[in-house]
Formats: sequence, structure tokens, C-alpha cells
Amino acid sequence: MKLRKYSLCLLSAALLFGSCKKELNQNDPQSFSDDNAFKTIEHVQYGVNAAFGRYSTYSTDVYKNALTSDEAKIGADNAGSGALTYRYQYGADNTTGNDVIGGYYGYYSLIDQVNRVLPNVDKVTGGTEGRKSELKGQLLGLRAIAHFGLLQSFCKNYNPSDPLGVAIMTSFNAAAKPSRNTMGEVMTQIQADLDSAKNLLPLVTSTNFSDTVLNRLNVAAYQARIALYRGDFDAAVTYSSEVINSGIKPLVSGGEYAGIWIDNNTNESLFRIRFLQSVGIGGLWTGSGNSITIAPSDKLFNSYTAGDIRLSSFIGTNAAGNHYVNKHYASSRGARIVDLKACRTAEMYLIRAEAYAKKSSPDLAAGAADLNLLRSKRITGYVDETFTNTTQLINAVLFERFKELCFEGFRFYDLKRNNLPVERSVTDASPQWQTLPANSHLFVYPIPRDAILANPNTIQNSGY
Amino acid sequence: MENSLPKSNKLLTAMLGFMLIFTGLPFMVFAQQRTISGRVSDANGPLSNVSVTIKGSTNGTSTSRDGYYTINVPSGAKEIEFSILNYETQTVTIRGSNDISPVMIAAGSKVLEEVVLTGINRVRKSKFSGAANKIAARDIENRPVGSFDQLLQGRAPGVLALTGSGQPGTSAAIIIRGQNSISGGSTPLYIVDGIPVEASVFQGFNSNDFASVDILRDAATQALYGSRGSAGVIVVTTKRGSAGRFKLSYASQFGIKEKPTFAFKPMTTQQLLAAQHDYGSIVGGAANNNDNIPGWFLSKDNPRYGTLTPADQALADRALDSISQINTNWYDEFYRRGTFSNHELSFSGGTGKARFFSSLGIYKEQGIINPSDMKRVTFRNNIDFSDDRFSFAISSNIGYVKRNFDPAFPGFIAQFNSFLIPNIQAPYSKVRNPGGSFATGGNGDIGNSKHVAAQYLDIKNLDKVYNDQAKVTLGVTLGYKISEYLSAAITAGADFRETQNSTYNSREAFVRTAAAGQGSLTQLAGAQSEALARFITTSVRPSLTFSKTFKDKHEVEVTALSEYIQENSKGIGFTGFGIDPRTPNTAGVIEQGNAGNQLYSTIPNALNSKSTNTLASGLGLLRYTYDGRYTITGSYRRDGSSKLPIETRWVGFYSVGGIWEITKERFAKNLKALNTLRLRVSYGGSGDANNFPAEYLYQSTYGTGTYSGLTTQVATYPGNPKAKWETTYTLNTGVDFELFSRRVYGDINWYDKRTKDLYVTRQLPAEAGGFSIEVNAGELQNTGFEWNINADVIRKKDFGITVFANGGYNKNKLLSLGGETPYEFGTSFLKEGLPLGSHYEVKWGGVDAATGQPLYYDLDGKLTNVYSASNSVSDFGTWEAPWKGGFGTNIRFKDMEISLLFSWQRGAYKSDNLEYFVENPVGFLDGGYNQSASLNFWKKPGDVASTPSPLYGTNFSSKLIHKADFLRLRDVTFSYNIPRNALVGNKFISSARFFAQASNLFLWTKWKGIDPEAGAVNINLGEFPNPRAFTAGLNVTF
Repeated sequence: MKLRKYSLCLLSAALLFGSCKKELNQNDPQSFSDDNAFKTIEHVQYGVNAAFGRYSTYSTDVYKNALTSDEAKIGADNAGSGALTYRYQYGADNTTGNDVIGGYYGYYSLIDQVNRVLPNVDKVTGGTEGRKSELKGQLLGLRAIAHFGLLQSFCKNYNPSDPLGVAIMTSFNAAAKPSRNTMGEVMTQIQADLDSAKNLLPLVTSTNFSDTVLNRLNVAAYQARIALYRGDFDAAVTYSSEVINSGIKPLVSGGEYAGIWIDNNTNESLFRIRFLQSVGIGGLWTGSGNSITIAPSDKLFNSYTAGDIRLSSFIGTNAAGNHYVNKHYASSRGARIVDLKACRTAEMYLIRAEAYAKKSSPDLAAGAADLNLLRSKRITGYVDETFTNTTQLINAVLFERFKELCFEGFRFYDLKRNNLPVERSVTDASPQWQTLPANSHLFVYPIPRDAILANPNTIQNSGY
Repeated sequence: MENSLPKSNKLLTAMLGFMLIFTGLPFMVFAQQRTISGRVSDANGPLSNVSVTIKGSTNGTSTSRDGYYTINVPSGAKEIEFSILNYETQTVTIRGSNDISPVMIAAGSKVLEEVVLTGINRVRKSKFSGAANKIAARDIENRPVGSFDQLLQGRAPGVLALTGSGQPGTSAAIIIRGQNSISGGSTPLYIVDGIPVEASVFQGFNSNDFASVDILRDAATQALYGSRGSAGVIVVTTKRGSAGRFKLSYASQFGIKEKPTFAFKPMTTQQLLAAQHDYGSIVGGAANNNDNIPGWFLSKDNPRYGTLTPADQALADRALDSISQINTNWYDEFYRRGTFSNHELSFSGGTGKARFFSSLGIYKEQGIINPSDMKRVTFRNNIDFSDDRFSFAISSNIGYVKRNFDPAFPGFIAQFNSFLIPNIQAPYSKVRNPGGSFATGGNGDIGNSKHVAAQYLDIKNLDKVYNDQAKVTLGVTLGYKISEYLSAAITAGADFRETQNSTYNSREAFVRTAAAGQGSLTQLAGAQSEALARFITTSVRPSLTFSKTFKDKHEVEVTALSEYIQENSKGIGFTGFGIDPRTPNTAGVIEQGNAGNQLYSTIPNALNSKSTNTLASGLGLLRYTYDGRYTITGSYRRDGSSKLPIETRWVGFYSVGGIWEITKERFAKNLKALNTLRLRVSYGGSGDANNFPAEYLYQSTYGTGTYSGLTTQVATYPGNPKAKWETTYTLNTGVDFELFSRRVYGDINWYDKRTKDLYVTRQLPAEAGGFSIEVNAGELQNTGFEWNINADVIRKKDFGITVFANGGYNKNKLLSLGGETPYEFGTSFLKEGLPLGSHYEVKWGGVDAATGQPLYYDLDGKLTNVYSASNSVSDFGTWEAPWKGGFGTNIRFKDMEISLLFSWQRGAYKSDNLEYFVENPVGFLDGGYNQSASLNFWKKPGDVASTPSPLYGTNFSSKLIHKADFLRLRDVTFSYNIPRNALVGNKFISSARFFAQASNLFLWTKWKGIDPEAGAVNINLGEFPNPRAFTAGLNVTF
């Protein structure tokens, strides 16, 4: 008995000694938590800056559009990167699908960032109402653009009743397991966000326009792009006209045009994703040194006629005689450190030309005028072409988009949007992967397999 | 059997005496001394390391290598006791003579027991309910290895010790009784002289200072460490002084290290050109113009040849002829014969109350590739003091280590290193230009397959990657005997380490020059990075022990202790760009940033990190032994960790154990062959505070960054506010035995270990931001058995052979994911019913003989030529070998001794990424890289080939997964005690020993990659192989 008492006594004394409770509260000295992440308007600004930064995921669209379309071929120095994608051997997993599943996480993490910052705009100290409205407008605009990025990539051609849209996320909840919304629902949300954004964002003039943040003008440009995508051609004409008629970013030519690509100027640039120090976008096509991993296709190279100023800006030739993608390669800021031009005035003309031709009451002359104006800025000694029917004009516009917007994330989506096959040239690809039929399931990129595992409510696209 | 009670009592006293010497507990000291000396021997000759103690005093010494001892004896002393493991203790009465030279008798029924050192207490094996094995100093000493944990392979049952790297000083991956956590890791707890030390940073310790390494594997012992013990505990005890004559020893050892033999043999120039020719003739098209494959590009058979002008044709012929003449052996360019040397000076001795051991070591090791090496200076001081009330012990070690590493190839995967490159560089590539500079190529050639090896040699020549590490480990124990039965002690210690990592990227290295086409401004500028990491663990452990034997039969011991441990880490660093090559290896002269060089925001590129965690615990221990036959142990412990939220921070662990000493029962008396038979059972829980998935895993975190030159802020981790302890419950049953006059002895254990509330990564939906958190959901089981069997086959004077074998089988199985979705973890798949690390790949179906297409199995088991990762299955085993062990022998003949250790593992499967590189026409052969001579690709219909036609690429599949079983001749040691008569006439030298040693002499394996070990990973690529080492040395004691 005595012994037991003794030992119990000792035990409790020891336990007491061990309870240094205060020292057991340790916080990460290097991080913020939910409690103090958003205190002032500056913290919100940091959050908004990060949201803009996350739009760099657009580079995944650029990369996979090139690899799965006819604008690129495997480069001379390629050691396997992108090869499976180019051969249409991609799946939903991280190994084979790494290139094509890109963007799914990226766009949703952009949306998550928006949804985390947005509720805090009105809670923090400091900041005028004007600044708060602008920040909210930027966030909503980015949320719309991100949802659109997902639609383009992971859904079939736009059909409002298609149940396999993407999940709409308008609030943050790290554990949410949403299902895919219909494409129409997603589009409604996108349009609502863009409309709100436009109302919240200030008017811009040619002096205070900035192409690194969202404003009323470049939101209109995205509205034009999205209207064309959903087949609302009247809206596409309206929005693209809004941008063109503002006169803030007119088309340029000659050296002014070449300067765009080496970041000497921001002509024609409506929205730009910055790569201040890192190679980023400049590293998509080439390795360190001048090694060419992904090259421009012969089909693209051969598409430029004599006098086309775009050829030298877009395609270079190295000492070994191999072509490389010069767009996003040469830079005035040091090799390959170059910004990604996410939205340009040229696209507005091409959108409007296509929309004029596709409208229920087509305007062939207006469409042809837009196309000819653009060509005249690009081709020395260009003589206007006349078009006898809308099909001819539409084909010409698509071909012009191929040439003008190559390696900017459009080609594959353009073919898909118009139900066209990918037809690569014989010198670009082996017969097994020369064509991708228009109806192929591969036109809809797979949703990452691990995203499906994490959220069983997400339905995989067919064929994967 | 002489099992009479008085003798037993004598034995017990003897054992206690022996223990007291080591424990440093107080005892009486006498005045007035006289000196007695002699030589202790057994039937076979002189015996070293015999403890010589004076009964009733702490005075003691031990015999030298050839059996001699000298001891000061107080005048009141009556008896001297001689004891050593495996022999019966002798007590000799002191009479007139000053020479006492007893002959020890090998242990019969009464053996001086092994003591299990748990780091917290010392327990005689007979009172120890857990599973533990001891590795003796002789198995650790004088091995040319900079990190002692590399020596554990094959030495103790149940321990998987995989050397991760042959880089001098790098730690091994140690896993005891299987992985018991998914995201938390399974690193054991390391205790040195009672003080917890940082795992995997051992290069600052000199393993020659170690007296023993105890490996504790079961709950009863792990419960002593409660929240930290579930991955096993490795307890290191360093050498301490023994009372007696001052001893000075000097040891010196030299040796070499060299490249092992590899299974993959790179192609010769002729073979490679032929393979390129085959490739080109099959593929055609663009391949006709691929100048990376001169064997086809320049060939007359290439249709392109016909289109050339006669002059160009002649040029092509000459070019092909000229490269055919070059046959570079890239292994010779990359590997070297490394040298090894170790010098050590140690002093030890003591008087009645104080004893000391000091050693100074200087260690130098070169790796088998330039410039990997390690240099170390260590200084250890162990001091013990004890009188009748107080005992005091200090253990201290200072280590300074400098290591050089292989520099990285800028912009390439980490595996692009000295071990991969010699395998893939074409043999017709030149090493040097005629002028002597490396043949690094020209503009646009960075990383070009034709020049990679030369470019890398150039980088190795100019860059420097090294670290400096200072490590100080200090432990102090103060004991006070309050009464006959009650004693108190406090142990405090600190383990401090500061590592400075320096990386110099020379802008003169070809790949960083504009001439090479380098575009990155930071690469062109050259850089110096410095990073300082500081890590300190402090611990305090006060304790009270009550120990008493009632009525001669009831032995009770109760201990209460508490523990407080704090770990602090801090890192600072920066990178400076624009290093002038005239001042290499320092960031003292950096280029100031401006708009022109664009370096402004990256100078300095500062790094900082900081973290603190705290653990507080209270522990109660109880042991009761009845009549030496039955022992019950129990413990209860409460732990709180700062890594968990307040609600779940504190947790209780208990353990219970029982021992039945069967040979002490009356019925066992007649079993003559049975010297000892002991049955042990234990069960208990423990946690894994050192292996939490993250330091602050319950807290949400945000991080900052920049975009477009502006500050950004994003959520980085949502936090798991419900995080709690991962707890492991182990049931262990064991048998200790000694048979046939202790000729055969060992132990066998069986265990079942379950980890509950296992951390499982929950991938949060991509749509919600794509975060992942660690949740307590799963359950994991490790079950298996272990054996440790020794036999003294021959035990004669001047000749002895002992053979030993130890090993273990462990079955690892994920019992439950707690409703979480099975997920990919690296290249493995976590699924209920499978072991951790199970490969997850598409099953390879071979090469279609008709078309040369690669074939795969789909989920229905049908062959298909379509690769789809969704057909991945996990039928290919795991890297963690279920069977592993070691065996060997010690042979003693007169003054010579030879010992062999073989280590092995069985049932491990790994993915051989090297095979993907060297047997791959698409992506490697066509890129101008060399291939293995074993490359056998499909060429024409009907070919039975292992690699598909070059028209088809190969995906990662089970094709690359192979058995990583091996048997290594890990260690061969020969030693020769220079006979005393050879030293006669030399007054100063009391003993001398010569030894020679070889490591990794042979490796038997079907694995074709560089090394089957390469650490705890599923995929091997570019690993630093275990070198083969030969050393020899001399040890002289004065």
C-alpha cells in the first residue's frame, strides 16, 4: 500500500513537471493564418496581384493548342517532351496527359484565389470606394475568364444544354465537391461576372490604359472572344467594335509591329501576362541554349506569303537550318524573358470579321474590310481581296487566325469550334498522327485523373 | 546444475558490481592502496576486456588486448572480481601475492547477462520484456564509413538499412519493422548517451567512439520514448573510461575506394553506330536527316547519301571513319580511385572516483567520383565521477565535417549527374579538344547529347558545391542517492548542428557562356549561394527511481520521470549573381543590379526559414520480479506536442510486458542442454512526434510572392484543425535461448504492429483550389518475425569459429484508408490491402513480334497496343524488401581473427529508370545518347525483342520493374594481435594490432542498374553506388 502511494506520488510529480503548457503553443513564425491574412486594403491588393499572376496558367492553353494542332511539329532537339501529346496518345493521367490536363488545376486555383479575396474587400481597413470597386471588378473579370478557359479546354463545342460543362465556383470552400454544371449555366455565370466587372471597373483612356490589369476595355475584348465562342455573333460584333472603336489600341505595322514581340512596346496589346524575370512562356518551345524542343510546323512556315512581316517575328532559323518559334523567344529584355500577349487588337478584327460572316444576316463587305485591313498592316504591298460568299470569308478568316494568332493558344480551339479536323502536313508528322478527325474525343481534353479521384462528383469526359 | 542459493546470491552481487561500474552509481572508496597485476586468460589464451573490480569499491579496470591488467587495491579490500560476458564471474581472494592471474571459465548455466541499454535506463536482459539487439563495438570499429548508420545493414534483425548514397558521410535509410507512416516517414529515434540527437546527421560522430548500438523494436521499450518511439529507437552508447592505468592508443588506417562493377555495359562505338544504322533504316523519314545519329546520318545506306554531291559524300565517309576511331571509356573519365585515411588518438583511465575517455579523430575519405569527399575532425570527452551519494557523467562530442559534392548541371534533372552521364554519353564523343580544354561544343550546344559529358566535366572542374558542418553534442547526468532504495537523477543535453552549404556556379563554365548560347541572365552572370542551417535540440529529463527487493524474492522497481524537449531550426541564405571568376567561391564581389543586367531584384536572393517545436512528457515505469522467474513490467506516459492543436495535443500511451524465465523453474533443471530459456511478451502504444507530416499541420497558412514586380499573397495550406496523434500499438512475443553449454544462443521474436489514425493525404477537389491536407484516417499493419542465432562451432584454445545469422520478415499492409480515396503517392498507389510503396504501372505485355509495337495489358488482362495509364495496376510489389538480414562468421586462430559479414534482402522490387535511358531507341538512341550493349529492339517481323520497334515509343510500364534482391559481401575484416613476445623489450607499447578490412567486396544481384539500394525509393536513377573499399591499419596501445 505504502509503495503504491509512494509511486503514485512520484508519478504525478513527474507529470506536473512535464506540463510546460505555454511552450506547447507554437505558431509558424513564417506564415500568416486565416486570422491575420487580410487586415488592410494592401493585403487585398496582394491577393489581387496573385490572382493576376495565376492567369499565367493561360500558357498551358498556348502549349497544348500548339502540340495538338497543326501549327507545331516536334523540334530537332526534342528529347521526348510533348511527344506523346503530339502523337495524340494522351490520357487523363499525369504521365501521358501532363500537357493536356494542364490548366484544370491552374484555372481553379485562380478561381479559388478570387473567391478567397473577394469577401475581404469590404472588410479590410483603408482604401477608397473607388479602389475597392476596381479590385472587385478585376477579381470578377478574372473569375469569368478562368471559367471560360475551363470551358474551352475541357468541354465539347458550346451547347447550353450539354450537362458536361464545368463546376461553377463562386465561393471558397476547400472541401467542396461540386458537380459539373451545364455549359449554359457556366456561360450565364461568366456573362454575369463580366457584366458586373464592367460596371465596377473605371473607364479607361489611351493615357491611363494598362494592359496588365483588367479594365472596362479589355473586359469588352474578352466579352467579344466569349461571344464568338458561344455563337452570339451580334454580341461579338458589338463587343469587338467597342474595343476597336475606342481607338486606344490601334493596329500597327512594320517595326512597331515587330517591337511588340520583343517587348519593345505594348502596341495592340489589350491584356498581357507578365514574366518579369523568369523564362516562363519563352521556355515552352526551346530549351536552354538554342535547343529546339517544339518547332513551328512546315505548314505554318509555308503559309506566309512574300512580304509578310509576321514570318520573321514568329519564326526563326538557327545555324543548323532548323526553324524555331521566335514568338515568345527573342526579347529586348534578354533571351526568352518575354511577356505572354493574352489578348490583342488583331484578334478583335478577326473576331468581328468572322462574326460578320456568321451572323444570321451576314455582312460580307464589313467582314472583308476587317480582314483586309489587318492583312494590309501585315503584308507589304497587300492588295485587298474580295470575297464572293461567307464560306470563303470564314475560311480566309480562320486561315488568317492560324497565321496571326499562332502560338497564342487559339488554333486547336478554332478548329474544334468550327468542327474541323486537324490536318498536319506530311513533312510535319508521321502518318499515324497526321490527322485528327473532327469528331474525335481527343478534341475535348481529359480532366486530370487525380481530380476525378479527389472529387467523385466530377464526370470524366468520354473516351478517357 | 549448481544452482544453490548462496552462489546465486554471489552471482547477483557480482552482476550488480559489474553494473555499478558501468552505471557509475555511488559506492564506498577505501584508502591505503597496493597494486596488484596479472594476466587473465581462458582455456584458449589471454582474454581482453575482462572487467576487474575490487569488491566493495568502484575501483576497477579492464584487461588489455592480451589479457594484462593492473589495479590499485585499498588495503581493506578482500576480493577481486573478474567478469566478462559469456564467462562465469570469478572472485579471487587477495592474499600475499601481488600477481593474480585467473583462468576464466566459459559460461555454463550462469552467465553474466547482457545489459540492454534503452537510453533511459539499463535493464538486464532477463528483466527486459521487449525486443532489442545489441551491435558491439567490434562490428562498428574501423570501417571506412562516415555515417555509422550505414554499418547497420545485416547486423540486427528487423532492420532495413539501405545505403542511400556512396557520397561520403551520407546517412542510410533505416526502417525498423517496416514503414509505419505514409506521409510522416519512418525515421527511428536516435539517442546518444541518453540525449536525443537529430536523425540522419551523423557524419559529425566518430563511430570508433561507440561502445555499442542497441536497437529497440517493440512497444515495451518504445513506450519509454512514448510519443517518439513508434518507428523504433536506436541507442548509441559511447566508450567510457575504466578505472586503472592511464591508456593511450593510437590507431591509423589507410585505404582506397573504387567503383563497383556494373551490369549495364555501355555500347562501344562500333555497337552504337550499328544500332543507329538499324534505327535509321527502320524509321527513315526525318531520321534520315538526324545528325545526332551519325551511324545512319553519314551512312551510304541512307537515301540522303545519294542526294549528296560526290565531295559531300567523301566528306561523310571521312567523318564516319574518323568517329569510328574514337572509343572513349566515359567511366574512366568520371570515376576515380578514392583514398581513405583515419587517424585516432585516445586516452582513457581513472582513479577511484573519476574516470575519463577522450579521443581525437581525423578522418578523410574521397568518393569514387571527383570531387565528392569528406574530411572530419572529432573530439570526444566522456567524464564520470561518482562517490557514495553523487554520480555525475558528462558526454561531449565536437565534430567538424567538410564535404564536397558533385555539382548540378544547370537546367537539367537532378539525376543528370556523374552516375547517369557516363552511361549515356556516346563513346565517339571526345573528352578534350586538341588544345586540352574540354570538348564542350559550340553555340547552341548546352546539354547537347554530343557534348553533355564534356560539359559536365567542365562544370565539375569549375564549380564547387560543399558544406561545412559543426556539430556539438553534450549530455550531462547527475544522480543522487537519496536513500538505499531511492535515487534521483537529472539528464540534460543539447544537440547542436550548424551546416553551411555553399554553391559556386562559375560563369566560365561553358554552359553558362554566351558562346554556348546561354540566354539566362542569371546563368550568364555566375552565382554564389550560401545557406546556413542551424538545428538545436535541447532536452531535460528528471527522474526518481525506487528499487527494493522484499524478502529476497520480490524485486520492485518504480521510476517516475518527465521529459521536455525543444527543437529549434533556423536557416538563412542568399544567392549573389555576377561573381567575378577572380574571386571564386565567395559572394564578396557581386555585380550590382541595374536595368541593363536585370539582376537587380535577385541580388541578394535571400532565404530564411525558422521553426520551433516542443514536446513535454511525463512517464511512470514499474517492474516487479518474483523469484527471478516472473517479471511484469508496465509503463504509462503522457505526451504533449506543439505540432498538434490544443484539443488533441495530449495523449497517453501505456505498455505492459511479462517475462518468464523458464530455466529457473524446477522442472527445467534436468534439461542439461538448456542453459537459458526465456519467454517474453509485451504490448503497448507509442507515437511518432518526430515524424509528423508537417511542423504546423493544423494551422492554415498563407505565403507571399511576387508577380510582375508586385507583392502577392496566396493561401498555401488550408490546415487540418482536427489533426491528432498517429499511434502505433505493438504486440511482441519473443524467446531468448542458450543451448548446449551456450554454444548456440540467440533470440526469436514475432510481432504485430498496428498504426492507427494513420495520416493519409486527402486531395481536396481541384475545383475547390486543389489543396491537399493530411487527415488521420488510415490503419497500417506491420507483422513479422525476426531471428538472431549464433553458434560457437569450434571453441578451442587458439582456434574458434562462430557463425551467426540474423534476419527478419516483415509484411506491410495498409489495412484501411478510413474511407479516403485510394491515391497515387509518388509512383506508388495507396490502396487497402497493399503494402506501402506498391508500384503502380501499366503491365508490360512485351513486343509484338509481327509489328514491333509495344504491348500492354488492359484491366481485363487482354493485350493491347494502346497505352493508357488508366490500365495501371499494382501487381508489382514494393521497394521495401519483406525479407532481409545478415549472416557471417568470426574465425579466430591464435592471434589472428577474420570476420565476414554478408547482408541480403529479398522480395524488393524497384523501377530501373536507367534501363529506360539505355534501352530506348525513341528519345535516347535517336537523341544521340549511348545505349546499353543489351539493347535489343525489334527490327523485322518475327523478331522476338525486348524493346519495341523504334517506330513506337515506350511508356513507363512494368517493363522497368525488376527484383532488387541482393546478397552483398558487406564486410571482411582481418586482424592480427602482434604477440606480446614480439613486443618484449619495448617498454612503451603494451599491445599492438594490425587489421585489414574490405567493404562491399562482392555483390550478387540480378538488378541491372547502378546499385539495388539507392535508399528508400521506388525508382532508381543516377544513384551514387556503394563503393568497394579496401583499408588496412594499425592500432597501438601504450
